[in-house]
Amino acid sequence: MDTRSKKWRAAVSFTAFFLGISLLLTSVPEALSLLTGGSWKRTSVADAFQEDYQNTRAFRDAVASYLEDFLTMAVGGNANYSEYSVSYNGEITSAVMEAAEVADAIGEYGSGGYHGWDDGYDFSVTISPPSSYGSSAQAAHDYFKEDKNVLYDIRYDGEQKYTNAEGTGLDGPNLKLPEGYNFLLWFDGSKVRVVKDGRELDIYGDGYYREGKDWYVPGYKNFTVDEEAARASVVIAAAKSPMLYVRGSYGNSSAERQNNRLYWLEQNLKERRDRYTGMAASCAAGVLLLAVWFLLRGDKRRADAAIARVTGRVWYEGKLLLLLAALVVFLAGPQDALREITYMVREEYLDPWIFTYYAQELSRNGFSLLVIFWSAYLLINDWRHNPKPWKHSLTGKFCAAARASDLKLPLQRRMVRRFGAVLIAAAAFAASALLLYAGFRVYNRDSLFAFLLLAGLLALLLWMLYRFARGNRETARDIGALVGQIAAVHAGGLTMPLDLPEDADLAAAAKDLNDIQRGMNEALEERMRSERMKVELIANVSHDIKTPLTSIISYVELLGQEEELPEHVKDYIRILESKSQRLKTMVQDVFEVSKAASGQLPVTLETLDLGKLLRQTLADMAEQIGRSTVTVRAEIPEEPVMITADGQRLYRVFQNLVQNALQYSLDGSRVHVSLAADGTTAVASVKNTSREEIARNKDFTERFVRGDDARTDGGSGLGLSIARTFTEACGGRFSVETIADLFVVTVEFARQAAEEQAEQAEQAED
Amino acid sequence: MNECVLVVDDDREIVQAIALLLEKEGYRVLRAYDGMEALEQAMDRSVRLMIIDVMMPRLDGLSAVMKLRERRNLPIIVLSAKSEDTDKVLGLSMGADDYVTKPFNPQELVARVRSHLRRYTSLGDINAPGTGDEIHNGRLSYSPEERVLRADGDPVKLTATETKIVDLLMRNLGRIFPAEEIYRRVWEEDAFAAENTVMVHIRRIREKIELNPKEPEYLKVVWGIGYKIEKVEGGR
Repeated sequence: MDTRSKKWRAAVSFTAFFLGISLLLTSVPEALSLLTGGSWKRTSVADAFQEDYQNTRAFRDAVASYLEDFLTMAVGGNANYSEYSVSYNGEITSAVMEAAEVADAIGEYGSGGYHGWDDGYDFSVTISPPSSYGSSAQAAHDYFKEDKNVLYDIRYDGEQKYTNAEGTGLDGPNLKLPEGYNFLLWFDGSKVRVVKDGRELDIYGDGYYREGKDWYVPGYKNFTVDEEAARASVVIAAAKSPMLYVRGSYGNSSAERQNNRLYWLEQNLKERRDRYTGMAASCAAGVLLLAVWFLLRGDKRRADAAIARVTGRVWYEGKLLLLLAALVVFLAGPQDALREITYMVREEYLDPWIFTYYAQELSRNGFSLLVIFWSAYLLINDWRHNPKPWKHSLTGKFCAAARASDLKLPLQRRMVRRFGAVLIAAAAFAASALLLYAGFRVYNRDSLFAFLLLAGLLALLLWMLYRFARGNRETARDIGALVGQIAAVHAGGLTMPLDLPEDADLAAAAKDLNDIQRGMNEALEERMRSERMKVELIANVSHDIKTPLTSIISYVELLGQEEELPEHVKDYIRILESKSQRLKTMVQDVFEVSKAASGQLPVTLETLDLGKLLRQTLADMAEQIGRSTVTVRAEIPEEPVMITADGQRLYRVFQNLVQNALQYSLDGSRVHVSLAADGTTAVASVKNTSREEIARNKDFTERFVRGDDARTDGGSGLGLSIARTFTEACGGRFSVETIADLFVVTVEFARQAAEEQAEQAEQAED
Repeated sequence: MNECVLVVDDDREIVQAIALLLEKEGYRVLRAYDGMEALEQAMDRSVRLMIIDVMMPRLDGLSAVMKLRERRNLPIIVLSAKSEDTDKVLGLSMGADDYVTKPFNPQELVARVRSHLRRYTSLGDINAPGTGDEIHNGRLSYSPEERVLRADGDPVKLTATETKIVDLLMRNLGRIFPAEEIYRRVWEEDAFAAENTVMVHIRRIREKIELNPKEPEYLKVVWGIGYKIEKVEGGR
């Protein structure tokens, strides 16, 4: 499918959905209110579709009320008719006005209650103002007579009192109608006879009157007339098709419209018929359109997405306000009902009926409903298709701008500022509370407004406190992360960079720390690389030295095997031999030290007895010690002092230390080798008295550093350096201390825990 | 004896020196200066042992060893300036019988040559006097019945105490004995200054059995724990 038809289908689908929903929304609530409005309303719907207006309830009610009025006129009582106006659309007002004018002109108000007409058309009839006009029979006659849609002849005791049917040939007792009239009602004093289209109708049925179902006329067993009325006889004729009668009364500078009740009644029925038809049609069209949408619903998603793209650019508040405004307009639409409800609430009497009325009124406001629906639809559509639409809001922009300006401030100012807001809110709250209290004390009266203000301020204060607490919590969390990161960097762990949110208070600090860490890492890597290069260089150099050295040693050996050499040449050869051996040792040592310094020295850690190792070392060197001029004093405890180290390397450490001591000690002095152990550490030390004065401020563990700078004696100058690097490679601590001419070297190791020792012992026994 | 040894190194002076040393001991010496040459010369049936350097042009020593191993079975001593354990392990795994680091001790090299040749040529002789209970470990073999230790087939002269120590350690190859235990078992009395006493004897035994007593291969000190005779693979 190409893009064009895709677009088309999306547009069609959405349009169908839009129109369908709109049509249904405007028609369905009304239809529902008609369908649920009870039998009365259903009858009125049925009435609207009657071909003949005379077959409707409205017509029956109108005729009944005419009869009532005419009977009243006949007996000469005050005719208690009440004006009704029935019209549609804009004509309501004029009809009401007219009626009022007429009544005013008559100026006589009858006594007694009123009888209101309610044609039962909830949408087309306005109940006339609840005023009743008592009127003399003559006034009533004047009111009715010009409306030729209804002809009447009122008699009392057989004597004609009022009629507007002179010369038309209307004859009650004989049930004869003039031309153009097809309905006749004849009341003979006790009963009513009705003739329509030449056929007499059965009015009484079983003879009992039931409200809402039968003709509201006397003559039933339970609906009779008094003696006065029994002397009256009335005949009423109704036109087949009512007309509008207007009588010019130019003395009053206007044309008067007549009663015209039947005319309006028929017009009304027609209007309603059209209306109901329209409603049904729009329902059907709506359903049809929705069906179209349902078929293309997949395409509507695209339309929705496109709409969401547009609405996404609108500030969120705008959409919310639109929905809110539509809701307010909608709910406040039926003002009468609302006023009634308010009144009822004030009177503390709520009739449930009012809500039904309110709902009915609401259902008539189809347009507002449409607006509500579509604004809600846009909002929901927004949620469905846009990620976090509320992010794009004016408030959000404002907050973001505030935050951005906040972030420009240094951290301490920001914290102070944050607290300042809380402080201001608290002060405002306290001040208004005080004022309210004062007002209460002075006027002894509490004001709702002040209370609301106070409550609002309290809510504001609480909200500020909450924000303050939340901000602090976040900052505390960030501080924790930052401190942890600093500790990790300090410990040398190559940790991940600290990642704080962009708008965190400590984001800048975290960034700085990350930079420092990166710099450190780079420096460390650089150092490692250069160390590695150094080791490689030394390895290469030592390898290059080894090859010629091999030749030297070999030929010195061969020379030494020559027998016929003078004694002094043999001396030379011995010197060559010893120096070449020293060179060999040095090459080896330099290589190992550089490896150890760069952390590339392989160590095999095992559990061993440091005391035993010291004894073994001394035993191993017993010959050397015996040859020297110094005495070695050992203070090594018999019980095992277990540590974890590489035995071979550690042997080299102590070998070097003892060798050093033998070499540099004052003749006849003593070298002390001791081991002391407490619960957690084992400390071995070698102390000797130097032959030469010890130079101050000299790091003896530096490579190639010796007590004397002359470099004439043996030793590579690497002894202490090897001892230190090997000790550290095994995880121990190495330190050199000089007190005057006393030279003290200390090697410290963590002692293995007692239970581990026991385990080791067990394993050893197995 | 006139056994023939092939010496291979790209450094002619070193080859010359080794040749001189070996000829003084009565060996016949063939010389080669790179790996390819070495392979050609080694096909000479009279060659009984090869000393070969690792870093050489054309074909390096270890590759030459591998190739030679496919065709001939003769003792090979690898010479190398690389002194690390990993290099040694690599050399031995390639088929070398021995690994000597430069700069070497000339006397030690000669001793090693002698040792390998003896074991290679008098293979039958080593096992001949034995009754089958002998313990073989590299160059060493020990007969518990006779209480005689042989190195390269030659009986080693040991004192009574030394024999007792050797007896203990050879019967428990690879096991580490603390000085106190050795003392108790050998002297059969409570240990007193055991470390020194035992160490003295250990050193003496080493002088008699090790090719280079300063870097012992068999009788080793396990620092901080005790002493042992290393179990060496490939005992012939």
